[in-house]
Amino acid sequence: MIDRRTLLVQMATAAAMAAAARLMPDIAFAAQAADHPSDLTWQKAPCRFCGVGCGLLIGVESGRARAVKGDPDSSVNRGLCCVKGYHSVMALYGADRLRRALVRRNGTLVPVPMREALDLVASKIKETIASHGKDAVAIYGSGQWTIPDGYVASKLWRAGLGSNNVEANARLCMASAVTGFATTFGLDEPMGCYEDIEHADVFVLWGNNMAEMHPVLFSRLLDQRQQRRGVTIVDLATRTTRTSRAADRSILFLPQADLAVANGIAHLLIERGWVDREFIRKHVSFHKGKTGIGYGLADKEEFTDEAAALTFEEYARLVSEYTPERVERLSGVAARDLRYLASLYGDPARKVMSLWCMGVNQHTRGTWINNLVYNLHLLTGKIATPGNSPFSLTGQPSACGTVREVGTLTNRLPHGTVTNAEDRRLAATIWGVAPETIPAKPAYHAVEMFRALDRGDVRFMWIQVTNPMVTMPKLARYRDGARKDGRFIVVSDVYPTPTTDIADVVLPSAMWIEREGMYGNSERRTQHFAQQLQPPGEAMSDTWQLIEVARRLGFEKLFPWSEREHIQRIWEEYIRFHEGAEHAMAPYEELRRRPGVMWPFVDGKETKWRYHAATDPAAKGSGFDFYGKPDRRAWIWFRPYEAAPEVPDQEYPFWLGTGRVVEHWHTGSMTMRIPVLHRAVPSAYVELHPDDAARLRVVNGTPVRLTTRRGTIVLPAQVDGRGRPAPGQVFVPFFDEKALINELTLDAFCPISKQPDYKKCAVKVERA
Amino acid sequence: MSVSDRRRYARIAMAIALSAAWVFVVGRAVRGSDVPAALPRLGDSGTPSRPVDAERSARESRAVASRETAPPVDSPRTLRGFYARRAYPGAPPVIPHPLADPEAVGGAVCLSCHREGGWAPAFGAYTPVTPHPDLVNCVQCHVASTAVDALVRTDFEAVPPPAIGRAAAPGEPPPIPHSLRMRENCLACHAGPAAVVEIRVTHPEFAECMECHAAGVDDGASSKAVGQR
Repeated sequence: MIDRRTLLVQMATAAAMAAAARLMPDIAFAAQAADHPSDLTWQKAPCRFCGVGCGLLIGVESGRARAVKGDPDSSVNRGLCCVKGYHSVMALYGADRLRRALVRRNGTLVPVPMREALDLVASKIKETIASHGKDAVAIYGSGQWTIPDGYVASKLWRAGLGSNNVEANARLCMASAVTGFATTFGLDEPMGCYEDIEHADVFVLWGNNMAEMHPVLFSRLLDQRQQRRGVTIVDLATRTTRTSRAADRSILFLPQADLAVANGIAHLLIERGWVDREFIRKHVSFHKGKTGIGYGLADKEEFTDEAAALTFEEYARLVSEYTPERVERLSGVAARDLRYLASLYGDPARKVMSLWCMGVNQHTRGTWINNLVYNLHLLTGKIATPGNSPFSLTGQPSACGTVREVGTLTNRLPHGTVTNAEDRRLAATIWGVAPETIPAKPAYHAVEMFRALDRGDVRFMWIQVTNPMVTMPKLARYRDGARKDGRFIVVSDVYPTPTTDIADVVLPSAMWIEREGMYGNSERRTQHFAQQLQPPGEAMSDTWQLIEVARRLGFEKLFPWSEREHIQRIWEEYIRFHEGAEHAMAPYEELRRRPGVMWPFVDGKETKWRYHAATDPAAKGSGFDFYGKPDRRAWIWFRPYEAAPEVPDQEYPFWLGTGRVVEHWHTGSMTMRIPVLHRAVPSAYVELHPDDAARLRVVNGTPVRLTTRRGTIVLPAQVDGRGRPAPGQVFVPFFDEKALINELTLDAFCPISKQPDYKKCAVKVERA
Repeated sequence: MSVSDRRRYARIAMAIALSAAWVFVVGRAVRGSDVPAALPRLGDSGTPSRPVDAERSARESRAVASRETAPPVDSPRTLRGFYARRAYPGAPPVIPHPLADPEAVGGAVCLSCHREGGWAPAFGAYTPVTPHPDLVNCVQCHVASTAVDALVRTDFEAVPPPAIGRAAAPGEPPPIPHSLRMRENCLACHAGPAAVVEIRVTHPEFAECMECHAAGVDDGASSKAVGQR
């Protein structure tokens, strides 16, 4: 017999289950709770997604990852994650995981045994080199490569094949940060670390929607503001975002005008006497480079900068052109806001942290704007001490670890550059090859590599852990080029993507904790993860795929390691490149033991702040020592404002900017398969300013046609969503492979870093 | 009009119809996709994994944009409803209602209801109280949910929820079956009108919960949980 109360409970349960089924229709919930404690074991791993490098604990039971927690022992996130991290393990379990190798036959990809696919890859490499030369074979990797993946790829190409034709997608995301560091300090990667957040009083975010893109670090900022008086967050951006709303002050500037804003602040610092003269006299030298340097729009365009020395007075005269009034005209930033910014940088009592990511790096003057932000810290001496920190954030889990530290860019080596004979000799010695094996000339940087594929100069390309058929700017050219006859494309990935669509061979990869590896995050922290799961089907780690192919090419001697030990052996060989106080890496056992170790790791100690004798074992003397440059000084560069290559005009009257949302990561090939994330933001849209929307008679959901000189797309409008572009600008996220915004973007890049600008081109906006 | 004329016209009409169909099919393939129809993307099953459907994409986006499809809230809250909002026990729950201010990180907006709780007439339900009001970037972990279908089926299997009432002996206080990280405030979830009915505590006046209820789960910091090779 059912009493009224039982009936009510049952009705409520049924209603809740109906609601539950709508919410999570794809997740099986145990009808009955487990009556015995589960055998879940927790094991550490860095998060699979962004460059913050949160420490996770993965709950594994019966060979499957079933839950995630933040690792309270990780100093990065202290137990907190973002929505992607909490759901990261679900990215392993999309029903369409690639489990078998595929080879294209008569236009169709058909499953073949892994062995056969690897044979084919090796024979195609051999064939292509014989017919078209060494630089006709290329490998295009990723900031999602583990350190061993990138190391083996670089070694196979440079020491094995004798070609520098190694690139990575980090060219599209942080090459400007690298050249910024290199030109200002002579060495890559930040002098500070995340701990600066707990010391800084002022945070200036340069074109960085940190609330969505680096949410765990942004929460550390918000936490400091709650705990300490006087903590100020300033959002300096082209678009109003969640970050702007959470900040104490939101200042909008016109696209490209950050160059003028930074110079305007420098001018005010000098004019008001807010510079640290003593620091400048001892530790800074002044330079200017070439101007009018172009935008890399033509094939084979080359550029080499030349530094001319300046005195402080000459530099001051050059920036004095950037008066508040002129900056206001160029940037739209009110003169009083510029004075406010200068007062923050100039106040000797306040420690300042500048943070940036893609807004600064994806910029046709990306190297310049990196230099210009450093200038503000160098003029005021607010650098390389706790809380005084210009900090370049990264977007991929190992863009720093694998691309920058291992040097998987055409011009780089695990230590130094290919153009430097000494660096080549070191590499040849460690690799056990003749020094002349490694060419002294770089091959192709990323955009040029895809142009070469289109032209036919590159005939074979192996793409690992990245999705260029979503991410390349001016996509149609590079997709058509990849599809031309006589091109052979190998793609190693975990899911079908628009890039596997153009592949001749698809190799199924073991993903993340299905293999052992290391990532390196934005604060010079190396993080090891053990293999915790078996990969599905015949899936194999990218490292081992490369080794298998290398052995088929006759390079057994370069890769002699056993499958069981190879990650440890690779690490031990790799860190020989970094011996010495400037870059020493932690030993393997240390990495296994701890949730991440920062380099330089000297005498068992991490280095939190570089370039100061108090904290950096490589620094000489008793104070600052910018040992990366031959003059042991940090370089202030005069870099002027120069316009973007394509600006709105009558026919294409809006600016188009692209970017991300918190729920999705990179091209969405993983996060779109996580139901929670897909349901939160299932597809792309175009954000408009409410005034523009009203003028175009567009409301939320109205189809809007965007057209640039390169392509057209129809997207639903979003008017009162999470972001608000300035009038005359639109914003589109790039995660949605069904709505490829990169059909419209321009492939202009910074001539120094060769990094494309995805934030600025001219677009026509119409009701569809 | 002769019979042959009629046949000719019929043939012309058919040719026009066929070319229109051809243009439509090719147009769709060109417009909606970068994948030629002849080269379907393959999953393991050998069937095309994801046909591209631009119209569906636009429809879904409109649904999100207009936020008409937010799933309902359950009242009173039940354990099943509680777990249904979470991908696995311990995962941050999704937001089952439209965001009051999608441009905000949460903070004041979310906490104006979720700090203290109380009756929410708009949902006909009591508002769940957050156990961690100090974390103000709410949308960092909690995201909205639309009713669109998953893009691809997931084979993820969550850890089962812990059994409730696992007392050592009848009448003994049961141990705490979950991690206390970000859940230090027991009464936020276990007391008050918004508490989940099955785990509502009978004696909220005894606020020193951990005097009787032992933490039954190791918080599992990596220092204690370094895996074997």
